[in-house]
Amino acid sequence: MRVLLVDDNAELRELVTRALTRDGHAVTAVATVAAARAALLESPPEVLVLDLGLPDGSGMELCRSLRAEGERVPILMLTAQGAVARRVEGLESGADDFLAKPFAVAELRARVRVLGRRGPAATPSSWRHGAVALDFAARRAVVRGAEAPLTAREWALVEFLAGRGGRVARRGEILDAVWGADSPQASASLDVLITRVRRKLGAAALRTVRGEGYALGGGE
Amino acid sequence: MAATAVLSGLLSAALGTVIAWTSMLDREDGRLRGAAQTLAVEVPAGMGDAAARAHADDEQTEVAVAGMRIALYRGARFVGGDASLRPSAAEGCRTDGPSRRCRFVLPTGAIEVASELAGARAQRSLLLGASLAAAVLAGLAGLGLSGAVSARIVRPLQRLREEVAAVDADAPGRALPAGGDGYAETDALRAALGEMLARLDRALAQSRRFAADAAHELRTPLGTMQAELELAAEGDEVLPEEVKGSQRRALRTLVGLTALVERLLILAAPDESLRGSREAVSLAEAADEVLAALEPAARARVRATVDDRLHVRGDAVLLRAMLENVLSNALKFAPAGEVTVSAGADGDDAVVAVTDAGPGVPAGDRARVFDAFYRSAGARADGVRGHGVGLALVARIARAHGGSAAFEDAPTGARLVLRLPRWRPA
Repeated sequence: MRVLLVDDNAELRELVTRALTRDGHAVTAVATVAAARAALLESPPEVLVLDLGLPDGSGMELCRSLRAEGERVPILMLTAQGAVARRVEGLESGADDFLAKPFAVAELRARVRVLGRRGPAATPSSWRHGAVALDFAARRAVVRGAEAPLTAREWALVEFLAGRGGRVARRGEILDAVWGADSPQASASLDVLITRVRRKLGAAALRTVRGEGYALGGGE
Repeated sequence: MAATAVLSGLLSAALGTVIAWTSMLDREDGRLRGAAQTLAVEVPAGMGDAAARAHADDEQTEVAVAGMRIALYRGARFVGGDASLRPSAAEGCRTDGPSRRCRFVLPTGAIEVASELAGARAQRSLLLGASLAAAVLAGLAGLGLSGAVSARIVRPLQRLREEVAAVDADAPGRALPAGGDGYAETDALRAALGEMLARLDRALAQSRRFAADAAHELRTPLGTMQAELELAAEGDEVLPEEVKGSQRRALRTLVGLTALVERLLILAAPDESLRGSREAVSLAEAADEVLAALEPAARARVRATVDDRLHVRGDAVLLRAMLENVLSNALKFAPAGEVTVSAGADGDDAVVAVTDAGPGVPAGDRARVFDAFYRSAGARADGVRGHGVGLALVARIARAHGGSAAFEDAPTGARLVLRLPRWRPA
């Protein structure tokens, strides 16, 4: 996968480049917003890893303007503060994921993998079906008039399926998108997660297509 | 305070009346003595009965005007004066019904004198009445005074005490708004307390910032070291087993150290930052993840029953860390035997109970065991590894989510109970 890394810290660029290269990615590392824009034109990446504080601009601003220009590349934003507020801000500006510095490099590698497999962002902002209303922006699920608690992972599953617009997603794809891995543990967790989501949203909200996978809506 | 006033009023009224009455009698006795002395002077011992009688009768006529009676006896023989005044048994003065009587034995004979006490009695009644009235007034004044003292001092002090008790230990500077009740006495105290709390707040903030900055500074080099060691471990070069073993051990220590630094950061963080994430967290999901991360040998010792429907509002990462610490603590301090984890709903709360078959926690230690870096004598003696930070973290995270952590009585071993408010629609 082609990865574009934008960070003004030379040590971090060196370390992350080595790690991602080890994973088989082709990494381009730059230090400024200007260089990032140039690299985006020259060789469009499949994942963009973007630092928040850059010498010639804000990573969040770059993210926002890229989205406004119609750029759909998955973006992982890095920040020096772990504050939750920044996470929300980052996601609102169009980033797909958010990682606080200093991070474990293994964590970065896993998230890059997930973003790469998920592909360009395509989640609608809401979804309605029967008695279920899902607001993905506010992360609020209302079932038969009462709010239901969905965990972060359950939201990730439902959002991914919603992005498929009711089309079937294979187990492998779901595992990659939500767990970033296709391991026996993840597979077992998926079964449990499907059961829990069905219990909360109602069996009609999530259908199993035997031999193929799962889809949102149209279940019994 | 009013009761005291009334009581002392009544007491002084009683005492005053007694003293006044006594002095009135003394005065009366003085009058009687005076009359007796006058007669005694006129009737020397040698005077005959007839002359004595004349003097006594004259004296009686005179004292009758003053409401007194006087009589002279020689032996049992009445000599002169008021015959109806019978001789007394003993010398001296006494009250006899409505009269005050005195008997003086002299060489010339025994002189009996008496006076009516009606007037004195009336005076006594008046005095008693006045004293009682004074007592009631004193009581009312006391009530009024106690009301004033209450308003000025007692109630403002009580209010102040309540406010101090309600001070949040994590943010003391926010308590005690200025202004008070307008009473100078408590306002000064309030201001002094407020200043002290503000200083405490600043000191707390400073030490928190230091701890957070220190931990943050440590994270970066630790993260880099870990990354380098991990990349080296994945390397293709063939290295002597000794070197690889060394690398593995270094990596393990590093991971442990990084985990400790993360815990310290959480401990040092102010509550608001811990409450930042407000997502729905499934306790069953968190427990599943924690259990899945255990070594197989440890996993086999744990029996978990977690209600699938239990959700808590907060931070999934922190709650997982909380459960992980509780579990690893139980596994560590009870090196053998079963560890049970059960989580269920109790009204608006989610209750998680973790029990082990170890030595348990002595009742005296139960509170201290949640202090950061506290390690019981038993733990140190047994050489149990660790820094004593795990339980402090558990308590901190539980509190930041509006809950609590405490050790409860158990027939054997230890029983740790976590209480957290359940998820509710916002």
